[in-house]
Amino acid sequence: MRIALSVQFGRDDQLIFAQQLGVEHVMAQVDCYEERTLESLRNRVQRTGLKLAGIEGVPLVRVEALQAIVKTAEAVGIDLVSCTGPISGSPPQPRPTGRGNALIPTSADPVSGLSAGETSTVTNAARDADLRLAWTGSNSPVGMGMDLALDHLGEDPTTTLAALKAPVFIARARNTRRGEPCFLDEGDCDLPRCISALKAHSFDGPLLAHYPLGMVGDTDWRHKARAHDLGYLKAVLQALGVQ
Amino acid sequence: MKIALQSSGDGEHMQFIHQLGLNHVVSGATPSANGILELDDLRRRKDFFAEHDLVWDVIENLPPLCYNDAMFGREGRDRQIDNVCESIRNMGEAGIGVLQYQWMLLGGLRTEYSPTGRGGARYPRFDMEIAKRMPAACLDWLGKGPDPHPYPHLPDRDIVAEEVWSNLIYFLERVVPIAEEAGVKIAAHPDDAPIPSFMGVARILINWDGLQRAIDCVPSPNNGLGFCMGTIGTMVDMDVVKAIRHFGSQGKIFFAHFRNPRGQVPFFDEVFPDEGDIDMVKAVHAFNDVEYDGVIRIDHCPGVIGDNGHADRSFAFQVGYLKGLIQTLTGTEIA
Repeated sequence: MRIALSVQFGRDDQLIFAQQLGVEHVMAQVDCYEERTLESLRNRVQRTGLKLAGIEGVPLVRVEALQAIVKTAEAVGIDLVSCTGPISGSPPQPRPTGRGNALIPTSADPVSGLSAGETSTVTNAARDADLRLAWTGSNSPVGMGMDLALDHLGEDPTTTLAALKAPVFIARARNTRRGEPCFLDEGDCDLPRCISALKAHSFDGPLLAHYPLGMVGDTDWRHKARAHDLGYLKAVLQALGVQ
Repeated sequence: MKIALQSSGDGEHMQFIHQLGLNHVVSGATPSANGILELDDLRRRKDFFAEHDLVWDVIENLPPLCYNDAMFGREGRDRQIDNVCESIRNMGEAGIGVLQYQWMLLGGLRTEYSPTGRGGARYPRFDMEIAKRMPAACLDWLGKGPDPHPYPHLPDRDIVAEEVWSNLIYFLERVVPIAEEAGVKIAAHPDDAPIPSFMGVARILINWDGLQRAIDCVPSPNNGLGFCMGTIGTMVDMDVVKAIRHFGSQGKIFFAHFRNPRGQVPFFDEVFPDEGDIDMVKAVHAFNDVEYDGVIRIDHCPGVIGDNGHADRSFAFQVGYLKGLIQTLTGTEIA
């Protein structure tokens, strides 16, 4: 298990920020999945001394497009892709109802835009490419791994992890209080316990902080909130003896 | 253990402190023209923080101009000590329970902000070789200016350690009884950087024996330490975890600074808390074992890309880090 930071392609300052805060792996969001773009991403990350854990936010809406992404990712050596889909209904608007009027981000469960047959086509292609496909929603389509939000592990994370039908490829530390997103340290989920359970589960993928909250005077990318979350996760891993 | 940040009272910064989930602040205080922390001023400031749901527990630090003659043993020290006593009585009246002071005649010393940290982060650094070559630059700590310090009153002669001790004991013998009456704990911050002397002026709170002597020289439940992990960690051959257990078990840690250095004098950097020489996991265990229930303030931090004047990003990282340690190791909520 290693901490990773979500970064945006082209924002090299975010790579420096990651490195300064002691993160060695990043997951990247890209707008374009052409080989040239993904190569550029990989090279830029590597030049800073970081490692590209994978790409995320890949839309799971058209089978042909996803097949092409899998092929391109394989070509440039990216072996982990986190997929998402459109959310059902209207997206909730951020509200300043967090601690100290922090802005609470939207949180909604995405749905896959693919049929079972299409999903199978894509997962087969990924398997042939030796590439792990992860799904960000609570119910992974058959054949895909999980991009797991840790607040879904409930009160007995060890048992819940053991009962999962899909492998966990990515873990997202997030917390909620009575269903509302909140800071990592304050919600209903005992995150140190969840991360301890992940360790016992021999999870060796990237651990990311999920949706940073909007803090006063922060940037759109939410540097302050991300810094807080990274510090929290670093400490939990050190205290649990995971380096 | 209560985590705090230092606050100037800026509204946006207080909201930031709140969003980090902190309920406590540490702040300096401005003396009146006659060098006293006036009761009305203290109450007004405490109420101001309270209106923002923040508790002001610690004055950090007693402004050196209020007691510089006492530190140097100069004429006028008795008047200054009387004023300090009055300030302590006012603190007790205002309900502010800890006064941290520094017995550093020439103040804190650093030589540079070095962009040699991970990812090019800037680390506050002390390098004795540079300090010897450019002593005046050290006094103007990182170019912040000498304003809050008692300079340019540089002594015109050498001052040896026993003279500094004598002046400290003279001060404590008069101040500590008042602190007892007022219910205020006075906490000595160690010499930072902890070197034996600088520009011919001795520094005394630079090692284990010095810290213990500061406690023992005027025995009182109200005389103790501002336990700066960073400074103590840079003392020669010092084991900070052992020191937390030693001084904490005596009930002598009145206030603490959370900071992790790499290296010890004559050369050290102030680095991120997860990468320094102090085993922070063991340190939090030690604080917990000695049942430390005072304030621990996040201290100086490295410079992070794009950060603002308050260094919010860097402080957010450190607050998150300390909370993560406490929650994982003790399973407790943050006070």
